[in-house]
Amino acid sequence: MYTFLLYITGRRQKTLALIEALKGFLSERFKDQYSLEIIDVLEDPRRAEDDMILATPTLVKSAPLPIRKIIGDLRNSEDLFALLNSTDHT
Amino acid sequence: MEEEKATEFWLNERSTMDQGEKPRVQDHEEFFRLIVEHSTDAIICVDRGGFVRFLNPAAEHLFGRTSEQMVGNAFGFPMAFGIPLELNILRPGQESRVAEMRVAEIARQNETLYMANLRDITELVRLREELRTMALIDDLTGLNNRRGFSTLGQQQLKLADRTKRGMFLLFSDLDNLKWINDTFGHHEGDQALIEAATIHRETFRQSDIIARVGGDEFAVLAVEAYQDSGDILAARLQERLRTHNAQSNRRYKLSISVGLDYYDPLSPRSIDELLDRADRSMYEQKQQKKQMRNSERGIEKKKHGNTR
Repeated sequence: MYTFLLYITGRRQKTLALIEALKGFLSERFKDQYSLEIIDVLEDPRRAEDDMILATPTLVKSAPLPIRKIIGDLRNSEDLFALLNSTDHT
Repeated sequence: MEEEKATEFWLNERSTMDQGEKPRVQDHEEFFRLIVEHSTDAIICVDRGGFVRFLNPAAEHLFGRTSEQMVGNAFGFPMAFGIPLELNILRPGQESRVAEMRVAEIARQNETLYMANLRDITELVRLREELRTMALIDDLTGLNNRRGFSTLGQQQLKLADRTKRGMFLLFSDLDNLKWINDTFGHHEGDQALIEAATIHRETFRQSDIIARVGGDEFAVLAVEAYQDSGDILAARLQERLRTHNAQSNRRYKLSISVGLDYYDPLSPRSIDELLDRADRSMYEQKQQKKQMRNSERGIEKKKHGNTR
């Protein structure tokens, strides 16, 4: 089971479009074998601090190990998929 | 002081080269180090695992963290190849900033590093938002203006076509605005428009698109509505208006005329066509109101005539 966390700032049109695109990507690539938690740093700033998030949007794959943290363009599905499945440790 | 050092180095190097001597490797390194240190763009180098290897002073400033706090820690893998990407930079105990990030891949000996260049565009974004708001929002009521309604409405039509869910366009008009302006002044007229906007806001959902599309005209795109729910929407607006009038101690009552048109995704129409049809339907309601008022006056006159 894959566990993802997406850190965002606010829920503007652009961010909502990103969430939709990411959900589409994850369900296409990981079928029903994943969970996605969305953390809005405006609502929960402590969480971002505790998780050492320096910028948004950031996608974190917390399970299975290794943890992967990706900042920026989360639409590039081929590169994103390769990164999420790479074994370099973060 | 550092800037002077950089200029001095550059001049020294030029003069050395003029004399036909090759600059030393250490001098080159020093020169490029100074360029990176003096860059106003933040530069962060990370490895494939997303760990920070290097950052320049501009990056320390942008992230509100020192080099010691960041080097060796996970920044994350930066993805923005080919295109600049906007990021919100989270800074401990300070307001966040917006930066545009570009990423370049650096092949170095037997490893690959990724260099993220970040330019602080916070002010630019603020101005852009201000312009966007000015262009799409009605100053007086804070609702969308006609352009805003058209822009958002078109997006919504596309969504309706995709999901095959219908929508209602409700066109409304604040009655007698000219009379209010002429009798009580423009300030009172503006106040009536603001209250009419509030009534619309309170009646419809946040997901509906509400706009002031003309002087005394409002339009609402009620999304995901069933074909038989139009009358319910109009009735809800009139009910809210009645409550508002009952609570108000104004010398006159607000009155709103309403027209409706249904958007069926199976027979698509443009936003302008919808507005036009709902406007015509509203005009008919307005005419009926006038006729009703005139006939009521006629009856009143007759009554008075009979009693004299």
